Parts: sequence; C-alpha cells; structure tokens
Amino acid sequence: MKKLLAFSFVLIVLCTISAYLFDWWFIAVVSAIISYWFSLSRWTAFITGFISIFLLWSILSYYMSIDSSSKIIDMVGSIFQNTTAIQLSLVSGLIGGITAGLGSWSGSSLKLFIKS
Amino acid sequence: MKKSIAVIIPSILCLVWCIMLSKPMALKSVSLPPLGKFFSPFIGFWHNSIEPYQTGLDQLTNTGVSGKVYFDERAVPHIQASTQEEAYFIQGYVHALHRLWQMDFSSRAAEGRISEIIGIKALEFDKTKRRKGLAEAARKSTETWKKFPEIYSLLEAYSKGVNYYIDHLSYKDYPIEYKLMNFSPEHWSPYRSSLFHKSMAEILCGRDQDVELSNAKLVFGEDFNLLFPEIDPLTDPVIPTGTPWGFHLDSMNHTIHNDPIQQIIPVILDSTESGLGSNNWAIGRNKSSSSNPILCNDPHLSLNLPSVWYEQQIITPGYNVYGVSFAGIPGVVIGFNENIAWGITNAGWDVQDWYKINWTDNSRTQYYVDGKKETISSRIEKILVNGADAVLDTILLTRWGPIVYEDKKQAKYGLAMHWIIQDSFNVNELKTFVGLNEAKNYTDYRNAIKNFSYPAQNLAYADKFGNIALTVQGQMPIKTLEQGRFILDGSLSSNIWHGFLPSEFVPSCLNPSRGFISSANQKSTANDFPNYYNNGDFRDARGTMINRLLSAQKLWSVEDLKKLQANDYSLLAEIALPFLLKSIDSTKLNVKERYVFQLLKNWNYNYDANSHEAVAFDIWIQKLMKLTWDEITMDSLVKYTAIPSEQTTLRLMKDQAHLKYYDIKSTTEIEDLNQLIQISLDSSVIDFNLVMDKTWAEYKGTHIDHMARIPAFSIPFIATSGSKDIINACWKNWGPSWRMIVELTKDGPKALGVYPGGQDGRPGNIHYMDMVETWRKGEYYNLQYCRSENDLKNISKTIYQFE
Repeated sequence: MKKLLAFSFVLIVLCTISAYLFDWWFIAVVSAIISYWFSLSRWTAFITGFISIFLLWSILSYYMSIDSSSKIIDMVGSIFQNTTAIQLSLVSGLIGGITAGLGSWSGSSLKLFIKS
Repeated sequence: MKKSIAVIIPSILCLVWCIMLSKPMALKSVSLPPLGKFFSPFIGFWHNSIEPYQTGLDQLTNTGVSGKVYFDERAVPHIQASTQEEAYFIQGYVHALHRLWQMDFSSRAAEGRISEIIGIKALEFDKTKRRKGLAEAARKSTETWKKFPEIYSLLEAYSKGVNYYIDHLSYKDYPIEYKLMNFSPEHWSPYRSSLFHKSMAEILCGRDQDVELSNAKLVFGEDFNLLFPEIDPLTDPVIPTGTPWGFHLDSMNHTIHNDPIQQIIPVILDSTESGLGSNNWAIGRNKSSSSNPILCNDPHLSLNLPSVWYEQQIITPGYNVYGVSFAGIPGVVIGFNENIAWGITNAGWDVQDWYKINWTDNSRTQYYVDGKKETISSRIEKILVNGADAVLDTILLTRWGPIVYEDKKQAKYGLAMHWIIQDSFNVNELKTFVGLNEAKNYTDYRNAIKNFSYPAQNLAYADKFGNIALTVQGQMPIKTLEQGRFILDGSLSSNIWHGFLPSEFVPSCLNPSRGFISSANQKSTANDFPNYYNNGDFRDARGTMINRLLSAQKLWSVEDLKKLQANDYSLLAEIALPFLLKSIDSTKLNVKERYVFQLLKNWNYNYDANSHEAVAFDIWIQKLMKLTWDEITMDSLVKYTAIPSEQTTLRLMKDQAHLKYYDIKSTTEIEDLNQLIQISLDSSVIDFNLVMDKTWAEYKGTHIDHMARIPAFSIPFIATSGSKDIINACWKNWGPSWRMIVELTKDGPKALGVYPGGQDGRPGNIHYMDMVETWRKGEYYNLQYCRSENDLKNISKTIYQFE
C-alpha cells in the first residue's frame, strides 16, 4: 500500500511539473518511467496510474471552473452538447487518467519483460 | 514472444491514444480540437476562465517603452505615455490583450487565408477575397505608407506592442478560439493594419448594382428611369442644397459607353444585404440649450462579438483623445479631444465599376481595346488548405482590373472589375486619424482628413469654439454622366475614370445657416454638383427624417439627442400607410382583416420593440412588393435583376394610378392599383395571423453572432426596437455599433457612449458583453475623460506599467 501511495505521489508531482515543461502527452512518458522504476504489476500500475492522474486532472479542472467569474466553462459545455462543469472535469480526468494508466502499464510491462 | 507482446500491446495502445487525442477530430458535423491539450487543466480551455483583472499594479518589463494603462470599471484602457510612439505601442498591446483573435482572424480573412485554418469549406471565400485583390492592395498601400516615415514609425510601434503581447503568450494563454480552431497567433505588421483597412473598404465601398441595373434596364426598357431614379424626391442631401461648389469640371463633355447588354447576365456579384446605415449630426451654439456645440454619431455595422469597436483614451503631452478604434489600426477613429469632436458615416459612392471584356477567341488570352488586341496577364494565388492539398487559383488581369466573372458557357466575354482599392494614392490614411486625434481647430481637421482616400466618409465636426462642419471626404472618381452606373464597354479605352477630384473640391460645409450638420448615408449633394457620382449604397429616409426633426425643434439638450438616436419613427410608413389604408374598402373586410385594418389605422409609425402594428405593416409591405414586382419575381432570372426600392414603389403608387406592373401575373384578371392593395392586405392578414402573438422585436429577431459563428459565444436573440431606414436602424444582424454624444463645454468635453458588446473580446469574460443590455435599453455610459493623474487613479483599480 505504501509503495502504491509513494508511486501515486511521485507520479502526481512529476506529471504536474512535466505539464509546465512539455506537451500534454508527456504524462504518458513520465508514467512509464515511474512505473518502471517502481516495478509494479501491470494491472496495479494501470489502475494506480489512472486513478492518480484522473484525480489530478479532474479536481484541478473543477477547481479552476469554480474559482472564476468567467462564463467560459458553461460556453464550452454548450459546445459539447450541454455538458456541465462537473462532467467536463470528469472528461478531463478520463483523458489524463487513461493516458497515465496506459503509460504506467507500458512501463511496468517493460520492467517485467527485462527482469525475465 | 508472448512476453514481448505483453510489452508491445500497452505501448501501442498508449501511442495510438496519445496520437488520437493530439489530432483534431469530428463529432457528427462538429469539428473538435485536439482533445488532449484542450482538456488539460494545465494548458487547456480551463485556463481561459482565469480572472484577468487583478487589483493593483502589474509591471511589464523589457517593453522598450515607458507608460501606464489604467483600466476603468468597463475595462476601458486609459493610456498615458510620454511620446506618441509609446502610446501606440501600448495601444497595440491592449488591442492584442483584449482582441487578439479578432484582429488576427479578420486580417487573415481579408488576405484570403481562412482555408488554412478551417479547411476546404472556406475555399470559395478565400478565392473571392483574392480575386478582389485585398491583399494585393494592402501590399501596395504598405509600400506607399513607407514614404511617410513619421507615420510609418507609429504603425511599427503599434505592431511592436501587439507582438510584445504575442511573444509572451503560450498555448495556455491563447484566446479560446485559437484552442477550438487549433491554430496560433501570427505576428502583427503595418501590412496587416493595411489589410484591415481594405476589409473595411470592402464592407463600405465594395458595393454596387452595376450588373443588376444593367439587367433591369434590359427588362424594364423605357420605364427604367421612372423605376430607378438617380435621386429620389425624398432625398435631403448631406450638404445642404444651395451650398456653392466653387469649381466646375469639363468631365461632362467626355462621352462614355455603357454596354447595353443583349441578354440577362446571370450573376450576382454582391450578395450582401443592403440597408446598413449610420447617422451623425452636430448642432451649433444656437440650437443647443446649453449653448455648447454637441456632436452625435452612431455608425451602424454588422452586430458581432467581439465587437467591431474598441474604446480607449490616449494621453500624451501633445494631446488627450478619447474614442473608439478598430482593433488592428492605431489611433482613435471616432472620438473627441480637449477641443474638437468628430464622427463618421459612410458616403456610399459607387467606386467599383465593371467592364465587359470581349475575348478575341476561346483561349481567353487576348481581348480587344480600341480595335487592337491586348494580352492579359495573370497572377497565381496559392491557397493553403487545412487537411487537403494546396489549391492554385489563376487570376486573369486586364488593364481594368481582375476578371471576376466569366461567361463559362459561351466563353465570349468576361467581367473585369475596377475598384478604387486598385488605385494608388500618395497618402497615408493613418495620418487622418493621427491628425484628428491631435486636431485643435477646423484647419487641423481639414488638413488631417485630406489624407483619407477610401472608403469615402461623411466626416462630421464640432469644436468648442462653436464651429460645426461636415466634409464628404474620399477620393471621388471624375466621371461622365451615368458612367459606371451600368456595365461599361471594356473595349474602349476612353471608358476609364478621368482621374480624381482634387481634395479641396470634395463636398463640404462649414457653419450652415440652418444651425446643424447631419448625414445618414444619403446622396452627398443635390444634382447640381459638378461631378457625376452614383449610388453604391445611398439611403434616403433617415437623413430626411433627421433633418426634419433637427429643423423643427429650436433648442436641443443632450437628453433630447439621446432620444433622437433611439428614434423609431418610420417616414416611409407615414408617407405610405394613410394612402394604402385609404385604398381599402373597409366595408368589405372580414373580422380578421378589419382587426389588422384598425390596428394599422391607429399605429403611431414607431417600430417599438413591443409593437404588433409594425409586424402587420412589415408583412403587408413585403406582400405588396412581391405582388407588384411579380413579373420579375415569378421569373427565374429575378435574382439577377434589380427591383425598384420600397420607397420608389410606394411613391409611384401614390403618384401614378395606372402602371402595368400593378397587375398580378398569377391571376387571369387584370388588377388595378386598388385591387392590388386589397389583395396584398388579404394575403398579408393570413400570414399575420400566424405570428400575431409576436412583438416586433420577436418577429424581427435581432441577434449578435460571434465572428466565427460559434453559437456558444453568440447572443441568439435580443429584444430591440428599430428597423431598416429609420434613425434607429437596427435590423436582424446589424444596428448601431457605437452610440456617442459629445458636448464641447468650456471646461472640456462631456461625453456619453455605448456599444453592443464589451471591451474584452475573450468569450466568457465579465467584459465580453457587459454593455449589451445598456445598449439595448437605449442607455449610455458616462465616458471617463481623464485630465489629471488624480482622475486616472480615481477610475482605476487595475494598472499596467510598461518599463
């Protein structure tokens, strides 16, 4: 459990930093490297990677939408067939989460392959 | 093997997923941006919700200029700088800050580069812009502008300000439209300011009816002059009749040859809806209840978000000016300073003429001029298309201009366009606004505006010394009678414009005896003006109404003038409705018809937002027009033929009881005028019953669209009063785009203003459309004309300091 929390923590911190330095998809690379380093099983890597970045992206997104006088989030929502800010945050979460999950899965698979 | 597959599968999945979300995609018919970065909370659309106005001082470093911007409560920047260059740098910066996408996108549109962004669907749009040659003209103008280094340096300073802003942006800061449409801002340059000028020319003087009128002349024959008078008796010209012109021309002695066409030319070269209009007027001391001159202006343009106008104050040691500008052009276009106020409306001259080119053979490489063969040249335009291969478009060029229409079936002739933007004038148009911004008196005003080439404008003027003036400023082609009213024969070199009227001869008046000046897009002068010019887009009723009201009342206050700008009274209804109702035999009406008859009988001719009478009248007039001109509208060639205006049609009905056009084609009987009016009422009552619960505002359906037609960023309906051809000319998608009233007192200008939008063009922002409701109600804001450091500090919480 501790290992998972540590993995999750490192992943969230490094994905946040990478977001300021590189393109958005770099979180896949970051997740792959960290899960390689942590030697997780494939399934655990995917799930933990997914949940960590899902939470990071969705919570951050939602936070930005409530802390503003701007109506832009509602406007974007109406472009995407009247989705609410919460739904949009969940979509953000899914995009980030799946990217990180797939990256983590790839990293852990590579580690297992090399070990064997 | 199995183990390596276990690595490859997730890696490939991951790669495919990332690539998929890095590319734009389509959901049904909606095209979506690359979703990965768009949804990222670090750089995506979530960032566009960040509050941009922080209280306090924000320092911008390494700008190369020093100065400050004080944003007031409507986000109007009050720019303070020690030189004009610095002020324009800062103006460029704030234009970009609030309107970057708008200025970038509109200059690309003028250049014919929209396919690059949105793909193949914009190809025809781009081709048209390139055939018209906006970019070509902008390049030429930029070269001319360089000959005026003192002004060119201001354009460069402005561009640097825009570019400073762009250079400090990353994807996360981009206006939302860039993220949705998936492109990036491009650097600004004086060339791009010039492009903006050309696109305004396209809107304001890129309009004519030469082809439609040529067709109409063929169709209506000898009735043509009756149906399409050059000047309507209703017209009260911009420059009061009787004003001496002080010159004469011998251009009337030239002979020109319009090319009488043998068959209808099946083409519409300008499909934009006409009826845009603007008003300005100024009253002198003797008509002002405060004895201060007052100038009013409400230019009417298409209603869009972000708004076409941008408000600012610019304070330098040399001058202190307040007013509205176009994002993309430095300086203030309509406004006031310590001493003067000025406003503009479009003059509407036809400065776009068509020449019929007779090809020597089917290869279409040579054409006849004065019996000799001349060879065309060509320009190849490469249009980049997003998601497809680049398209090459060959534009054929004649001595007159580009071929814009070709008769592909017969390949016998083509139509070449000569438009004023193809001509070079040795002026820098920006000098007009720079000059007006710092003008102190009438001489300064005249000196400044003589640099303005096109689109010709009615430039109203008032100063604190009590002078009022109006100049119809622009390069006026010297023409022979009726030259350019119809398609011209392109095989005669003598059909060229005979140069341009020297600027001291443009129509103007100073302190006319009636005590006011005004313009509302009507004809500039009475028929005695020594040069011929014709209708690009003249409107008569508004000008006549303004002059009637201004003449009738002895003294005017600012409150009265507010009401005048919002005046919804229809002169056309006043003239036509009593006559139409008199033609109806009310004893023969059924219940529903009698209801409409009574409704209209009691109407006060005002297009109020909640009026039902206006709906009934509008439907009736449309029916009447349709049935009167059915010999044209029933024909498939109708859309290519000009139809007499409502104004002319209604006047003819009053004046001429017997015209063959009154007969309704679809019936076997021959109807007379009274029957036509009766039948049109009957038929309009049926339509009216379908919408009888709708108010005028609901029926009209004014809306303010986002420039890229993104519904989420638009206002789909706004309940407004007003209509076409009345002072408050507010229609479905155009209306008063800036209302301004300036009183020039001894203690400085006092001004009111409002426009239908907001300063900050970034959708969703608190200042994106915060002025719309005030505008809708016909109310105004006090414009904060700051005259001291203290004034500036009092109005502003957010300050930017440039270092």
